[in-house]
Amino acid sequence: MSDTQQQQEFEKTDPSREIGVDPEKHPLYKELENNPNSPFYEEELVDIWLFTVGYGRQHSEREPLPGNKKWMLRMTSLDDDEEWIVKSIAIEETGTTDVLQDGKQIFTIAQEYANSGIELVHEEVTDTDSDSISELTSDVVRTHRSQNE
Amino acid sequence: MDTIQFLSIEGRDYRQYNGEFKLDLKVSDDKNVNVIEGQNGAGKSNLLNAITLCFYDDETHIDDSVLEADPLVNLKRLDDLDPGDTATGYVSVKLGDEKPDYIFTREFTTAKQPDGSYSGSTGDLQLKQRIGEDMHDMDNANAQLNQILPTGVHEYFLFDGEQLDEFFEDGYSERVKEGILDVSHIELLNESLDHLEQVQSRLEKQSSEFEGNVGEAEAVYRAEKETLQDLKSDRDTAKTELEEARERRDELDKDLRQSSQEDVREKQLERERLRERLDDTQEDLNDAKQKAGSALATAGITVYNADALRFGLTKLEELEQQGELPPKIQDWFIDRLLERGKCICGEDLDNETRKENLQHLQKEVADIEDENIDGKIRIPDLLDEVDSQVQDLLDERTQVEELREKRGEIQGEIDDISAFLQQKDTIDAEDAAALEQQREEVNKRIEELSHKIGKLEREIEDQQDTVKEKKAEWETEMEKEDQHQILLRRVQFVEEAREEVKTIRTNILDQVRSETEDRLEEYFNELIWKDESYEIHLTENYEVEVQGPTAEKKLASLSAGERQILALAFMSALSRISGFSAPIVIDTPLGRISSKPRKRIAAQLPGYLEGRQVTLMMTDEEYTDDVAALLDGHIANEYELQYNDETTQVIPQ
Repeated sequence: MSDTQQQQEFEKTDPSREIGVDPEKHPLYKELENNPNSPFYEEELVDIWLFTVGYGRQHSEREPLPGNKKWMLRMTSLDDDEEWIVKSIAIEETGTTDVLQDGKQIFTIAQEYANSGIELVHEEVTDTDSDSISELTSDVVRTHRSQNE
Repeated sequence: MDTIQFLSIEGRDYRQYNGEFKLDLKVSDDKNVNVIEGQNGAGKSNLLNAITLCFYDDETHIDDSVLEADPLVNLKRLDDLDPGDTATGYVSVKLGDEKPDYIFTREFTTAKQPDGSYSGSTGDLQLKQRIGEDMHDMDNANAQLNQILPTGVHEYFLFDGEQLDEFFEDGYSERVKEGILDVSHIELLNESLDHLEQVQSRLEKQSSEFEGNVGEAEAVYRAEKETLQDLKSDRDTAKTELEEARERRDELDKDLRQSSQEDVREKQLERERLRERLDDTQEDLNDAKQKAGSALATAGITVYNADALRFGLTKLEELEQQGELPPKIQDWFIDRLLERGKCICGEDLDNETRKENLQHLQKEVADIEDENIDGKIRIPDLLDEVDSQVQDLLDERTQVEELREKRGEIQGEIDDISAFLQQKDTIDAEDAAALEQQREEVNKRIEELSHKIGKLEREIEDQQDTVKEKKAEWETEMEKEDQHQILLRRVQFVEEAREEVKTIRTNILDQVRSETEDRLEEYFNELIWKDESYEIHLTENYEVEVQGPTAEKKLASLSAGERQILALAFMSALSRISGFSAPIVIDTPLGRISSKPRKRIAAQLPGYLEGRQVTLMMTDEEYTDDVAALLDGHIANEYELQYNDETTQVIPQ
């Protein structure tokens, strides 16, 4: 965490009413949700989004969204626990709980991780040579073990 | 009986009926059942065919291709002909209440060719209709018939019990859907939708001549709509081809089942059993995959963010240690202090300032700390769940892997059977090998088509989004010029009208589906011989789910008799809700049903088809003494069909 981050000042903002994605990547979410071969077939879109946020954090870097976001989910789709996951990511990213007052910033961080995560998750799921349930499960288990070492 | 009934079926020289034949079928309110008994091949199904031939120029209930190729005119009659001569026969059905109101007749002709073969033709449907006391020839026979018994729904009134068992085989949901569409009378709405769509396209196209970007935007939008249409058309073609391929596979399976060689028959039956197990396993696997997917999402979300959750928790704890995050002061505690008017230190809270301070504290606690305190409570709970979530995920993955293995083993056994049959290429068994080879090819085709349909469905979904987007762009261009407003409003008006019609259609279909579901459940429970009660659900995808007292019963696990009763209940439900109180004719209604349910059906059928004429055509094995006794009070007419010397005689009982 840099000094800039530590000294960063946050505005008091409310988050947008909806979670946005890159319009070009919106079909990737829909495919994960609607393709019977996807492990996330018929899962809640909010869970798929949160999964891509986490996957992006572990395997990639934040990727800013274009100006013309496509609104995909209402903020109210997140329950309190899920909201705390998003908030914790923002605290971890900025190094301070001060970020909690900046609702827009909290969700910008998560959206940017999802923006990079979705491509990787989609790639894994649509790779016909691999068994995506097994691959993703192994990845989750590996991550869990490494965090507990 | 105040509903229309078949007063008689009569004819001359139709198939095995040599010369004139007639069956009076008039029934009354309390005696609403006709029984026509005859052994296999005596001509029961051909009585049903006589009705559909007369009405629709189609012998719906012939499944034997050899018989289909046979001449319509009775063979004995044709024996007397010289090559080049022709003979004519007819079938006539009288309909009415007390007296005939309609007499429908269709003639048919068979010509004997010089080489001894036959060729045939059928005449137009003729109608005599009562006007006053007299019967008059009418010109509009087909239209009049369609009012009484529409083509689309006749199979829910005139049906073959033996084919009922097949109704709930592969692809049945399409048949259920078709049935529901048939009885929903939504043709007019569909025509309206087609018309409105054409009007909308015509109006939109008018803008192609407009200056600026409008014309261009219209061209792009139209091109995308055409692409969408092409995709839908490709999908529909693929669906038809898939249906045909499945039918072909069924035929090949049937041929193998009826092979002259015992080992081929046994292998085919074994394969069909394995196929059912494979379907069940695949269904279990789909469930397991769905559960594994949920477990993956749940565990993944927490595991991938566990480091952030821990970091966040540490930061909140630091705040607490620095005194910036006070322990959660429960609202009720402050409320009580305020109520008592006394602080815990013993000071009275009569002083306004103290009271205000406390009220202010209460507000602050609610506004600021609550949120961070909430995090301090929630994050440990989330982290506590990680281990069990990961374990659940591993368990679900194991379940998926085991089911995949099981599926692989079953598939391996099926492949072995296929390999065995393909090697049966000795002279005696060359047919089996050839059939199996064809079956393999058809199977591959089915797989390819299923894959293609899935891909097209996804492309259609994406293309629909593109069309929507291009339409919005076209509308934006149209909005820019005042002079285009009127055309745009007209398009939007037509579009709204289309949406309204669609809503009406959806509501009607939902209503019919729901009514069908209710009737289906009611009839199935009335007819099924078990004392248990079943819930039946007809899903939005027209799939039937049977829920027993303890568990869901998969359709594939139902016995042939149970499936037949389900289909009988479905047919009865559709005929009941179709709005047409036409007479019902069922060929072999009890063919595959054992004695106990047979009695139950015999006891129930006249009751729930009360007020309608029911004609049952049964073999002597179906029409047992028990069944006869149960139907006895309801029988109006009874006939026996006696088949001797290639000719059927109708004997009134």
